Amino acid sequence: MMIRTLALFLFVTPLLAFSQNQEDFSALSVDSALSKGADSVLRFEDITLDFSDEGKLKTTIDRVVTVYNKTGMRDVRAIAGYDNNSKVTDIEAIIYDLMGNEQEKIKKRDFKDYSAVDGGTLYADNRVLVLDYTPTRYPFTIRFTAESVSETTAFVRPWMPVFTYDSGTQYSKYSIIHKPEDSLHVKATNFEGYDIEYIKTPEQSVWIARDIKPVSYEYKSPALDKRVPRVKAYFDKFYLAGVPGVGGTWEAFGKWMYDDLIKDTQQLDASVITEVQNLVKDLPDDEAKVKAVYQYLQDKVRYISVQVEIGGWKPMPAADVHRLSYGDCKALSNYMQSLLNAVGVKSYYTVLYGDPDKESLDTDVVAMQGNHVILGVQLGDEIKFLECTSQQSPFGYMGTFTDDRDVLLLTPEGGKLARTTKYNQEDNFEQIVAHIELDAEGNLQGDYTETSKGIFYSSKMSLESKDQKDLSDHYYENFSGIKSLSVSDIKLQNDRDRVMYEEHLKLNARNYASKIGDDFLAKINPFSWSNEMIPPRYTDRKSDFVILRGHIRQHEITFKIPEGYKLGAIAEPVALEEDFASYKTEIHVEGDTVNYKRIFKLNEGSYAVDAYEAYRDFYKNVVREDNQKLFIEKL
Amino acid sequence: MRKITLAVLLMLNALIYGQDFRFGKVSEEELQEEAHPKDPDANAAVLYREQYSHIEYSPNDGFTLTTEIFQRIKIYNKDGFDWGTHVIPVFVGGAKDENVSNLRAVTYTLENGKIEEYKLGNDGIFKEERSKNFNVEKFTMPNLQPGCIVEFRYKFFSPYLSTIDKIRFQEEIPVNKAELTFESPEWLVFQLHRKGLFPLDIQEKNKADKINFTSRVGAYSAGLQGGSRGTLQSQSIDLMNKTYSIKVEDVPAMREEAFSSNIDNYRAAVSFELSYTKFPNEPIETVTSSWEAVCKTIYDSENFGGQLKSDRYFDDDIDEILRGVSDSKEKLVRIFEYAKRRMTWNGYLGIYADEGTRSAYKNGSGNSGDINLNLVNMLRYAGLDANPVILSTRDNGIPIFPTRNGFNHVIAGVVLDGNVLLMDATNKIGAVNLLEEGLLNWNGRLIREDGTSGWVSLNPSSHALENTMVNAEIDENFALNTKVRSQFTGHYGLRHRKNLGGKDEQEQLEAFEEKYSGIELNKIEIKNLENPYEPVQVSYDFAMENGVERVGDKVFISPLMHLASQETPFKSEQRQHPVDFGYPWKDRYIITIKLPEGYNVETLPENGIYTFGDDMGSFKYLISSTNNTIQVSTEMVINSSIITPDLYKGLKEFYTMVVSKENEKVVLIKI
Repeated sequence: MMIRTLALFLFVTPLLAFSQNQEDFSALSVDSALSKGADSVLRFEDITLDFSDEGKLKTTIDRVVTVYNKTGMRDVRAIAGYDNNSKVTDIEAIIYDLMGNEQEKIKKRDFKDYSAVDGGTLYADNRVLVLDYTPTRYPFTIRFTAESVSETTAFVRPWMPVFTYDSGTQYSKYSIIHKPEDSLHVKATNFEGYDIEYIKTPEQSVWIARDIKPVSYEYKSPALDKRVPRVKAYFDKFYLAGVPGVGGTWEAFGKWMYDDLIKDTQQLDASVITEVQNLVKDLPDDEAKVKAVYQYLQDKVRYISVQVEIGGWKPMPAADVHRLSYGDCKALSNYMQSLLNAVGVKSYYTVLYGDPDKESLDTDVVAMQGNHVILGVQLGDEIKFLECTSQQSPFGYMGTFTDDRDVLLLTPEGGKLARTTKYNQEDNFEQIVAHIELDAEGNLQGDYTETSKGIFYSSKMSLESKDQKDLSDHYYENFSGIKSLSVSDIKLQNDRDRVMYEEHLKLNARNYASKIGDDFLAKINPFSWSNEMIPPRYTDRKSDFVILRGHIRQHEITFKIPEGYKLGAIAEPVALEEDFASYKTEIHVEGDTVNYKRIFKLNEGSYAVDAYEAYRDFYKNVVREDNQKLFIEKL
Repeated sequence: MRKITLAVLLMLNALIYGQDFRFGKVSEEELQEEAHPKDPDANAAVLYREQYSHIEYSPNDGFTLTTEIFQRIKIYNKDGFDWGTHVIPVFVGGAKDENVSNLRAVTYTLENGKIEEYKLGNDGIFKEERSKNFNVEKFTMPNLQPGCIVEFRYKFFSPYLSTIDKIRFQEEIPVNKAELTFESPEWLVFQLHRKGLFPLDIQEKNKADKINFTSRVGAYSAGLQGGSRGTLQSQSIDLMNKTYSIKVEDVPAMREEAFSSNIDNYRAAVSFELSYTKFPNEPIETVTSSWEAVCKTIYDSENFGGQLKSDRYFDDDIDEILRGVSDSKEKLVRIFEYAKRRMTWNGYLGIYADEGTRSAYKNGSGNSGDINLNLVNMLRYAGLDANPVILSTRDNGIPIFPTRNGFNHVIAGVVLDGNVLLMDATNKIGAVNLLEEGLLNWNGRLIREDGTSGWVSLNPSSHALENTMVNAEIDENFALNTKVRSQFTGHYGLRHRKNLGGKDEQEQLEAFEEKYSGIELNKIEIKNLENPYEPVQVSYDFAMENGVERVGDKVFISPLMHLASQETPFKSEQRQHPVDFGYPWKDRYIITIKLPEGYNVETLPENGIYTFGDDMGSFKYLISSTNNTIQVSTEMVINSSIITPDLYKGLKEFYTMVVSKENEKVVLIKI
């Protein structure tokens, strides 16, 4: 689904001076404040991006890392990528022992050369050189130097002096060299509270960061790049795999992308045009037409990732997609747009980040961004977005990979920013309705219906492809709190028009109730949450926590007790209310039946670190209340 | 001639089965089929697969292997589209490269009752250089639609003859019909190995053939002008060809299942391995045929036996380490620990030394062959009866037949007082006779200095053991205050070393909180993580707020507290593959709970003993109470690390009873 991100691979050159530490490679001289709890410490880093030669980017990297354990090895990032438009001119690594004595030198020819095709991609022409080194003891220090030259200047790799979790930074320097007439635009974030030096001249900008303590990953914390200093930079003109590009404003940038990458790939054969025109000719309005064409697309094509033209940024021609019936996100969105052109509906090739954490395009940075493409369709004043890589997604449905974020629309007039569909708390609704009965042996049986809407819908889409055994196993895993469970009569109803998923099934659980003498003790709510729902504990949490999407999860249960038994004391209903969530239960007894309802609401938002303990306590209370039991006495 | 016979055979098939399995002869009925008649859940099915592998001689290349593949695959729905993309691994960089040629592929669809064909073009074929010696050729079919059929055929040329590997007859989807023909000249004698439970009918026959070649006779050179280029002469040699053919029909799909070791152990497949060569007028040269022969071949290799010959590079170091030690066991442990310290595994498995023992020793790193052959060498130097033991890891599958490729790892084995002690110096946290779980795969083969060999069991003979003591007290607020002390021995110890080693106290605490969800530890203390010869000792204490339930004037206590299993791992109703626990194990818990003031025991769960199979597993539960305390002791034992599918129902039942017993409650009543 990803567009290949060229920027990912870092390019590199040996610099002579290890200026800060006077060539001190000993792990013993690291300040303990930087190494405490760290897998590695970035001792020294000097990254230079040289744009002074028109159409060329020369990247040099000199990096010294002290590695404390196996995990820390990844922080060395001793890797350099290349493809048809770029090459690695120099690459080397030197290993130093604890005392800082040189142990081993690894030359370019000893780096491993792999194709950099990830699992989801059928073909791409990227390759990487990777250091192949087995550490024999820790800690040790490694110096990695590399130099590379590329004909792509469109990606100015951002600077993050703290690049990974659990890694301290002693010194990191970042320089951008450019022609004085090419003005450099900069967006610097999260500098506050850090020791950062900034030097600017007409042809060079330099940032230096010193002594940054390691940062740890924390559950539901903002992404690392939102917690530590970062610099993003861009120019108004650039080259993409040798092709000149224009930026400056989103309008101009979008116009360039449209004209140079998209426009000439949209021709379709006359017969294809006639075919889609016939498909929609009797349909009343644009929405109906788009739906019909979208269905045509979903029935016809499949997703295959092939990254070749212009560094993987130009879509495969629409005519080829039609002939082969496959393509990647660019090709399929572009093909869909070509089909819509044929039926006279306006649509926009839409560039964005596909990412479950709602990563937006950085709208302050007018440059190549994004890793995914969808299609925005103009329906009246509204734009509906279509995911063209999915053969199952309902019309206009976004899901967690593409919802609620800033995106760039390419129009013939130029680029425009827009925002994708947002799912609010009341949209994201999960409802469980169950009617259950206990028999005199303590066995439970009943029927179960679960309805999923909004963001919950997306997690259900894969159920249909499971066979019967996998499907029952899925419920056994989901209802793991019910022992000796057996499920039957599973019926799945996928209502794509209303974007609603229903699951119906019958439950049967032996010895659901625990026998105590002649009496029974049984949970009112068989679908209660367990302790595993409680967020992890931190003795000293540092970061705020973010709830990306609000939702409602509701259980409605009728629980009938066996004949010859009566209900003992019943738990009191509760109502818990916090900024971030609320929880409410209702319990009514009607003869031999308990009517139980619980409503859990999670509120979207960013919450201060101080509230985290309350957030945990809230879940603890929910788990306790969810697990309330009925005492059922023999008459 | 051969082509004609094949064609005739195929025609015959067509007559018998009513389906025409020639390329391009896809029928309307096949395209109309909406679901597999015997497996309606299947996303796709192999309608027909034909592989013809034959070894041929050419004067330029000598003997080479050509494989012709033809497949017809039905795709029922979108989830079956993965079967429209195929990947062929290609090894290159030797004297001659492998290659794929004559690739032809077509997608067939039914449109308005008419069969449409879409040919695979060059834009659907991709060649990728993965690494120096390994390329892949991939192709993805055009115009896939639910219900379509894809057909492809190609020739695969290989100069490598020693193994013709894993020809599968069983897939994740049903295979309706598959045929394999393998043909080799009588001079190259192959051994056929089969795998899986599906019966394979193997036909062998011999038929006469000829090898033609031309040679120059009378060529000589005499200066620039003269000389003679000789004359070309055709010659031919008569020989017999041996043919194996296998035909299968209606092979059911075999899908992945949880808790299995390696599904490839169960799939129907065959492979051929060159066992010896017998050329005219030359003596027989054995390659493989028996375990004995396989091991001899391996031992004779320069990268195996050849690595065990010199001790000059480490003798001083070992002398130093063994100074003053006379006990053999002590010597062994010292050398093993030294090898672990001295060399670090580079992550590559292999039975052969990659860098060479000497250089691995000097550089301090190497593959498993480098490190453990070094270990054997050092142990021998110290006068111990040490030998390499080759084995196949779980990921690699079980070596059922004598084959060189069946083994992928080597460790060291020492016979001491009649027992074999196994050691793997690639694992820094391992101990003598305590191997990483992935290595506990049936048997290994111990190869002696004279080239003879024998089996040694890799399965641990002793149980992994947990001993846990809990002291708990219910306070006046009905919170449970609990102190726990546990000891983990054998493989349990190894597992804890692996999971907890290198972590700080906070991370260790989190690991235990995750293991027993719902408890919050106040502190944790772990001993012996660095010493693999002692049990790992863990002490922690915690308060459990939800540990006790109150309903009216009654209090319900789950006496096993956090140690009670929350659920059984065996939820499926049926099982196709064995359940693999890895090693036998025993968990013992002793729990003492002090009751709150003003409460008496109303009911206690009953004592119980459950067993499973013929001494395969057991669970004991004993509970008693005195004035103000309850004491529970439980013991869960699994004696057999592998449970076959026929015993699955029993195992599931056993676990269900155990989980239910572990969750039974004590009821207290207010006085």
